[in-house]
This record gives sequence, C-alpha cells and structure tokens, in this order.
Amino acid sequence: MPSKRESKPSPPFLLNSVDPLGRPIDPAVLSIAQEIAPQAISYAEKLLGDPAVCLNLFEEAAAAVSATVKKRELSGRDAIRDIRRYLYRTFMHRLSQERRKQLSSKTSSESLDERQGTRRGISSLEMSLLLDEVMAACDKLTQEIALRRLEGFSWQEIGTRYGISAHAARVRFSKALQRLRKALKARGIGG
Amino acid sequence: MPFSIEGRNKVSDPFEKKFLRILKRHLSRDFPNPKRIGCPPKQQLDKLAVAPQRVPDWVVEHLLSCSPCYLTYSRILREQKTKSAREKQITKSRGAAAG
Repeated sequence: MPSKRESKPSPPFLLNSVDPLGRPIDPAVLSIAQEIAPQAISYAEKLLGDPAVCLNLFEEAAAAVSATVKKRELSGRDAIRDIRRYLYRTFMHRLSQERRKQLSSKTSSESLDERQGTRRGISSLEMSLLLDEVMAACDKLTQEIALRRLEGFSWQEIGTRYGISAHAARVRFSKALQRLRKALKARGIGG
Repeated sequence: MPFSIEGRNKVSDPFEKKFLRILKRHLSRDFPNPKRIGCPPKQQLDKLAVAPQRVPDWVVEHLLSCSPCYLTYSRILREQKTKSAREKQITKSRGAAAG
C-alpha cells in the first residue's frame, strides 16, 4: 500500500521572550511579533543578508516596543494604538541603522556598482520610513486625499467627495508633500 | 509654489509622481497581515469610498498599515472611478441625443 505523503507545515519563527541584550519582550508584543516576523525578517534578509542578524534586530525592536508600552502605562499616557505598525516601524529604523553601519564598514575595494546598489536599498528603506512618518502626521482627511490620489482621482473629484474645493484638496496634499521634501532634505536623501 | 487649481487627472510634478509610486508600492507590499488582525469589515471600506465622513478615523489609519485592506480599498476606489466615468459618458451621450 503506498504510504500517503505527509505535508509538514513550515516551521514558525520562534522568537525569544528576551532580546539579545537581555531585555524582556512583553507577551502581547511577542504574539504580534510572531505574526509579522516571517515577512519582516525575509524583507530584512534581502538588505542585510544574514537571517540571524535580522532575527536579533527584530527581537531588539520588540523589546524596545515592550519598554515603550510599559513606560506609557506607568506614566498614564495614551497606549500605543497600533502595536503591529509601531513594531514594524521600530524594526525598520533599527534595520536602517544597521545597514548604515554595514555600509560605513565596507572596504574601498568594493566596486562602484555594488556601492550604488546598496545605497539605493537604503534610500528606498528610509523613504518608506519617512512616508510612514509623514502619513501618520497627516490628519484623516489628508490621508484619504492621498489614498484617492493614488488611484488617479482628480482634485475636482476628490474635492466633491469631501465637500471641499479642488484647490483646498490640492493645498492639503501639497503641504504633506512639502513636509516630506523637508524631511528628505534634512536626512540627505535624494527626493 | 505655483499650481493650477483645475481638477486635472494627470500628475505633472515629478516629485509627486515619485511619492505616489513609492507610497503605493509601500502600502501594497510592506504590511502583510495574513491573519487579518484588526481589519475592519469590508462594508466599512465600501462605506469609506462612498461616505467617508461616516467612517471612524481608525479605519483610515488601519489602511496605512495593512496591505490586504489597502489593496481591497484600492480596488473599491478603482471600481468607483470606472463606474462614475461610465455614468458621465452615458449622461453625455443622452444629452447629445436629446439636443
């Protein structure tokens, strides 16, 4: 009798409840971290290469978020509304730092093409982080305007939908773009 | 910064073009949520496309950090755009036939 082939599910990412620096990871943060770990780490792997380093960075990010959650609780400040997003952004910041470190330690024997390629990687990563920051700083209406603009809606269509003029819609969006331009300039990333 | 206030569809500013391209790619790919944690029901996304004032703020915030929801909303908006363009065309042809 031919034996049925057993299909094993792919192993989940097993994160430690303590990061490599010995800081604890809150159980609530840990469960969210487990969820986003596969995608986040595979993305990081493309930039850094070493999955173990990426996993360490991810655990460090989770521990940092746990500390922030606790700090906010103790000080009575508003809790973080979207821990998943907060953790993702923290990880991306950490990743960006690590990538910069790697770049600065590269030897001069590296070819120009390679260097340009890695620089492009950093720029797009930092750009993503900046986009998150700029979008998060916008009010709900501006965020919605951006989402409609992404689908090619005209200013007239957007204005009509939100009961404002086409000019007002465009001005709101332009202000967000202006903020991004300034942030890019401040960080020395080509806009 | 000089700009026209006409309801133009095309994006002429290269910076805006780049911003929109990167933002779209970022929102579509960088926030996987396979278990759909914290996602609003699809009706809320439909409502957001039609009557945005009647949808709570957190739904829009969620769209900026959940690729599956963003992709669904993006499809809803595209359908809405196609539908309104079709309606406009029908009205126009009816007007031409009547005149």
